[in-house]
Amino acid sequence: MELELFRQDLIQTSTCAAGTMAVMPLTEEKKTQKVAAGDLSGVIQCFSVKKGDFQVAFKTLPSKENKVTSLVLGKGKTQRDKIFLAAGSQIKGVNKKGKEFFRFNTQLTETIRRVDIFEKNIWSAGEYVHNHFIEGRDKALYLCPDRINDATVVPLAGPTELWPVLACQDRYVRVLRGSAVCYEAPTPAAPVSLQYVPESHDPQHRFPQAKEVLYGTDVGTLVQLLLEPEAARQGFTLPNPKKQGAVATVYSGIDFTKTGMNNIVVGREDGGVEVLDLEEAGQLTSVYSVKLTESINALDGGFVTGLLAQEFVLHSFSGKIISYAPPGGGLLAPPPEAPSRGPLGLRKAAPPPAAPLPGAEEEERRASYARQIERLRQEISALRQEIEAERTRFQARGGDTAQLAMSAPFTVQDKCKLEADEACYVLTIESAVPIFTVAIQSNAVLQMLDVPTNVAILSRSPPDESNGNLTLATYRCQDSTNRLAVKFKVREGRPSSLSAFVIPAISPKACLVVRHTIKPLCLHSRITAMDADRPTNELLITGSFSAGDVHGWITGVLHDLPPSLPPGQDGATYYFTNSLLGTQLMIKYRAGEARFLSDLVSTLGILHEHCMREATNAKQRVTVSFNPSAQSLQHSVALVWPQLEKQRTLKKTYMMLEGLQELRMQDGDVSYLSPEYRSVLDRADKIRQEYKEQPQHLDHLVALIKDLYLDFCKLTGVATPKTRIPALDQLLLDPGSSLEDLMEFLTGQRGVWALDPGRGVEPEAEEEAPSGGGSQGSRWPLGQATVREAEREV
Amino acid sequence: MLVPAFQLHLNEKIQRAQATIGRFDGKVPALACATVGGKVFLHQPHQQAGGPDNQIAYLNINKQISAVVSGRLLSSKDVLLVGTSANLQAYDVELNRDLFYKDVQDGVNAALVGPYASFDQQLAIVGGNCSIQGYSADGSEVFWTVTGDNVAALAFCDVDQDGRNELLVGSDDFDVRIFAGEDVVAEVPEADTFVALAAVVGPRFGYALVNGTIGLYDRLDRVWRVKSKHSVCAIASYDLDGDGLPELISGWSNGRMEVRRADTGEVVYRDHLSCPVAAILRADYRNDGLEQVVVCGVEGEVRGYLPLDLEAAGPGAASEADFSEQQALLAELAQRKQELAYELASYANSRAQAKEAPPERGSVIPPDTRVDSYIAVNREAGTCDLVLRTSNEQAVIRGVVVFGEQIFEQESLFVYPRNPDMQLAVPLKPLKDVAVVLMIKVLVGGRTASLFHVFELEIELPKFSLYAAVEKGAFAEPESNVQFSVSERIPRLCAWLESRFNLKAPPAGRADTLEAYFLCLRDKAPLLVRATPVEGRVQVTLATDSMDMAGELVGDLAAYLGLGDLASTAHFPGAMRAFKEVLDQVDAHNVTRLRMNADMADASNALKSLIIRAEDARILGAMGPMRKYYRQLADMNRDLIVEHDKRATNHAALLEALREVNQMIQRAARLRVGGPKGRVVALCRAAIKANNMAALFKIIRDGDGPV
Repeated sequence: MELELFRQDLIQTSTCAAGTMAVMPLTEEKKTQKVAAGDLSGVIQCFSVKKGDFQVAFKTLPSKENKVTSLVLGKGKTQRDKIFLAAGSQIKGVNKKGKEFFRFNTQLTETIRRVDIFEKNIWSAGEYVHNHFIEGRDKALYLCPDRINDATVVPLAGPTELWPVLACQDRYVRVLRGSAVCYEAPTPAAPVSLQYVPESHDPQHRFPQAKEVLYGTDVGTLVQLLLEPEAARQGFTLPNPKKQGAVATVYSGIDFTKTGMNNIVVGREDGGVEVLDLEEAGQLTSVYSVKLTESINALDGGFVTGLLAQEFVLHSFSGKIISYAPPGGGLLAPPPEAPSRGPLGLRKAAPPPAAPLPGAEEEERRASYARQIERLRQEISALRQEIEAERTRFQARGGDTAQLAMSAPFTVQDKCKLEADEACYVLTIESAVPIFTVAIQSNAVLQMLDVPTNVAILSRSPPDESNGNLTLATYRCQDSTNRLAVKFKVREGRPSSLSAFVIPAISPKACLVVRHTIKPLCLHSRITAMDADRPTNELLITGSFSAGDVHGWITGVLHDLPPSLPPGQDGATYYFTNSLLGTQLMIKYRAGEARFLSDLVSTLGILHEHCMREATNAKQRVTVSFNPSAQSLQHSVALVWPQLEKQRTLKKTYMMLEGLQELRMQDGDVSYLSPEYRSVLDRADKIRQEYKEQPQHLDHLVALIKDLYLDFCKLTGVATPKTRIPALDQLLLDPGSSLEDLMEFLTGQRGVWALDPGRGVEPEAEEEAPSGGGSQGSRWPLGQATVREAEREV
Repeated sequence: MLVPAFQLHLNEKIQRAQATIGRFDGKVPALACATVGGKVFLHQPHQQAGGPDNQIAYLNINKQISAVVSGRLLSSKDVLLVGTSANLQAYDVELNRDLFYKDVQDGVNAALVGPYASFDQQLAIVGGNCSIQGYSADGSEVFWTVTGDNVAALAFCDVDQDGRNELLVGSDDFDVRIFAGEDVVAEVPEADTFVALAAVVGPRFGYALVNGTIGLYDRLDRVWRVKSKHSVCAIASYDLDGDGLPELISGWSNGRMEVRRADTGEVVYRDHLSCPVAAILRADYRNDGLEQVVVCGVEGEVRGYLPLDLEAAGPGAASEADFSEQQALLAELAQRKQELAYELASYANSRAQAKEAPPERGSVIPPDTRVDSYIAVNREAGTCDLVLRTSNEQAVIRGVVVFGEQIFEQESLFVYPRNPDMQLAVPLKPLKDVAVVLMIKVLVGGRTASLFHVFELEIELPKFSLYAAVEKGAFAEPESNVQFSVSERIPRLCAWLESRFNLKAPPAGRADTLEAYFLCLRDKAPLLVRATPVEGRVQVTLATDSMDMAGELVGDLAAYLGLGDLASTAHFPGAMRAFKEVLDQVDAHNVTRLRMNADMADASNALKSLIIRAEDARILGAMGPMRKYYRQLADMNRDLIVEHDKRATNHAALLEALREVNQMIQRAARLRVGGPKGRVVALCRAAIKANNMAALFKIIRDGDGPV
């Protein structure tokens, strides 16, 4: 079933943080619901829509110190129409008239990202700390091992007994009781948004006692979690096959589809909005979707523009508040040509809403749209005049354009994330104003990849090594673009940094720079457990360091780690996987000892190098011992091999393609060719495309195996056999060589080394002979084809 | 929303830009497209006989096809023209016979048919390697001229609105040349190789480039352009929205088809094919009296679009579209409003800050900061540097983004110094001599800032900016030169030098003579410009060893002085010696080609007999001889392949040499302007046809001569 919803643009705030908009509850009189919103310029406003007219209940003045970072309604019985907001470390209460009736300074050092109020209880979630205050006094404190992405409170133990639930970056949803974790539920990806849904989606009423929370993840999936006081149960999951953006906000309070269960509205970071319907079988289907150009920061719903139907309301990053109403609801205006007043100025009896005239609503809606457009146009021209006036005043003052540019409320929201499936990074930049250009600078070689949804034109500048810029590029946006995704591949090994200079398209022109560091093991992502069967190498560092020292070292190498060691713990264990090769890494450390296990030697090599440097800088004595496993070398080479072979074959087929195509052109009918070659011809465009997309991929893999070999030699204490590297190169690039050949080369060398280092060169010569033969073999079928061609020419 | 009027799937691949629709029997339309394997297929939907299976017929060309067009070469019906790399075939489909078959040495890169210039009949115009030929219906060459590089796209358009078609030629040197008859009346430089050109309406024409740009010119002025990261495959024009003005329709490699307004470039409609677009044609393919836009995809998908008829659309459909349009408008207005609010907020914030006690100057640069820019020649690096400098110590340049056409490998250059300073030099190395406007964004801020002020500058890079002025006697005067006389005053010429070259001081010219020395930083070639008054006129000498350079200067000077005609004497001994060698090569390659062809024929015969013998032996069960014959066959095959390689190399060399010849004619022509220019081309062609090489050299030198 497809839903039809109509968009209405309500008001415009400044750029906003996530979760700073709420729809006030219905009052007893027949009135539309008010909407309260805060933004990053410090303004709080509350407005309502009555018969198409906008009425502002109150609007505060902007203030730089009071950037609103969270805005909620009170949960206590008498508090439901009170607005509570967090600005910095302050929590304030504002009544529906705009009067501040409550102010509480938490003395916290972190910015409060989410606040919840129930009667005298206040819960606040900062970056890492979650606090509970009662009547302004500390009641409980919980220090989270990783970043808190979102938080809420759920009446788990009774209607007045609210327990905090946190969505944490380390892939857990944690339920707190007092200062302690009651239990934690692992999540498939980092949860970024969390919503408590009082009317749970449990069609079969299997768990009547459970409380439902929905969480959205940074990989764009949505998961239902049924919480009970002792444990959580995972319910349905919304997969994300189209790779849409992270789920930034969730709302479920309106039953658009009239199925008896509220629909779920999902707002994404890439501007996607979807209305989902839960079927009996527990399947989620999308009944409505729309795509905005900016991220959705908050969702709510109610009777906002009309009393006939409920609608959902969203707050976008740049501050647009937009509602989507079903047919029958939303803004409707009487059509202009039919005056709604009778001859005596009396109102005509309104037609009963149950049976509207067919087409009447359409007319009304059309009129309403005309009116909305007219209103916007008027507002725009009023704004233009104001700007004109400001401009004259500004010039009369002898305006300082630099200062003007600096005072522009130019905010950029950005994120740099590893795309684990493709082993590449995506930097997304979102700006409140249209972007003209984003200029990228990095001191590492970045391989820029195409993003299909981007309309921006990439232009690479030649690398400027004298200034340390190995990557320089610009993305020029056309039309009005507020979002840009930059996708790139980068090699592991060296720490590097990336700066993006965002230049807006409209004046005043200020340029904002966003910087990200790329850590040496940048392609590693956290996992929760490790496959224990793989042969592993072990790197053991011992010395008189503390656990915190080691934590400091490894945070310099790996992403996805909490910035400091969880308090009260003397050591930790983390697992990672290399997204390009699928190899694993385990880190286990405590004071005086750090143990690194990986099936890939290179990873340990990088860690070793980095830790040694850090330890030397800190003037700490450490002892390193390395326990290599020859099998692991083979194992990791075997892991890379299929990819290498694929790339080599691709290169080979690509080279062959031209010849085959000429054959086809000459003969028309190529049915005499072997099926293999015919399939090459059929896949011609795909092969070309693939080859064009990854010309460096093969080199990348070859370099990787070489690094692996060199690392292995280095860590096993063998002097680098420089002379053997060209032979290895050849072996790797030759499409005829097999995994066995390579293994023989890698391990055979080791054997020879152990016996007599002087003879290390000899097996190399032998190695080349079979590989040469292999390549001839592969060339033969093509030669055969040429002969045939010549025959046919006669 | 644009809905196709019809949709077909032909299950035949269609080569890019090689499709045409014609009424080959004079009555019903048929679609002819080049497909794979050197074949042309004809789709004849109106052919009744044979049923639906028989709608597709094939023509075997057996060579790689490079162009397929059709047109009314005959008065009663359309003729199909098929071009390959070496010949042009005019084919009468109905009678299944060739109208003519011509060897075209320069190849057929692009072709079109239509009335042109003063010719009273329709011509088939063919663009090849640096040359353009026109053939009449009997296959005789009635028109020949040269252009700067390989022809990539052709179109007719009445650019000057005189009622006669001009020929637009887009060539691989990134120029559109507009020919009226044999003369180039104008040149328009663009940023990349051309994909297609298309007349839109009146003097307007659209263009498409390899780098994904499409745009529209009104006469010689660009009205708009847009760039996409996809590559454009075809363009055409048609009034699809029914507003009386044709739109520019473009087809893209990702299957997208876009209809854009001719005046603004705004997108009116979009549609998506399942495969890359191969061609966009205009024809009454349904044969019902209404012209359609027919879009062909490379996989054989064909869609026809009719212009939007507002009356015909049902009311329901219209209102449906209406709402989405209104919602889109609403979204756009909301966006606009937000942008204005942003600007207003900046003013408000700034005022608020001004009121507060002295604002923190940490990241804010002093209010009177300016950024000055100039272009300096950097002789050591061989570049001309764009030097940017702030007027204040506190304000440093963090980075510069420069956008400019044709001077960078891609469209922009980003410079990011390790240690930001007040001054920054952006090295520019224009790949060719062209005047470009650089759009510069300078990021200026305090030394530790993370928010920067963007200074926007525009600066025009002079056409010959990569030439450094040097002292007299810094190099020996080049032995080659071109001389001509103009009735102008010396100061005017000085002014020309100043505007075109990057001069620090005005050229050292006394009132009576002008002498200026330059060094091209690209290839370190010297250039001397000398002007001396002779009998009330000014004798100008441009001394350089490069004919291209001289031609560029002559053309630019003539345009600056507004000269319609200019004859000159060219003295290029070095270039002539090289040209002599090229001509010798052409002869040599031609001889080799003939000889090798004979050898090849012999070898083929021997091969044939060997196969018969080998197969005979096989049938007779004589395995020994069979093996012997096949071995011989394999040997001979190997020899043949070797021979073929040689032949191919020879052919490539021949083509290259012929290209050189055409380019030399073009270079010689460019040393003249107007009438004398056309005359050089015509005379050179005549000399080559008559194989009169001595005359050819004389024509190149004097611009005139007997043939």
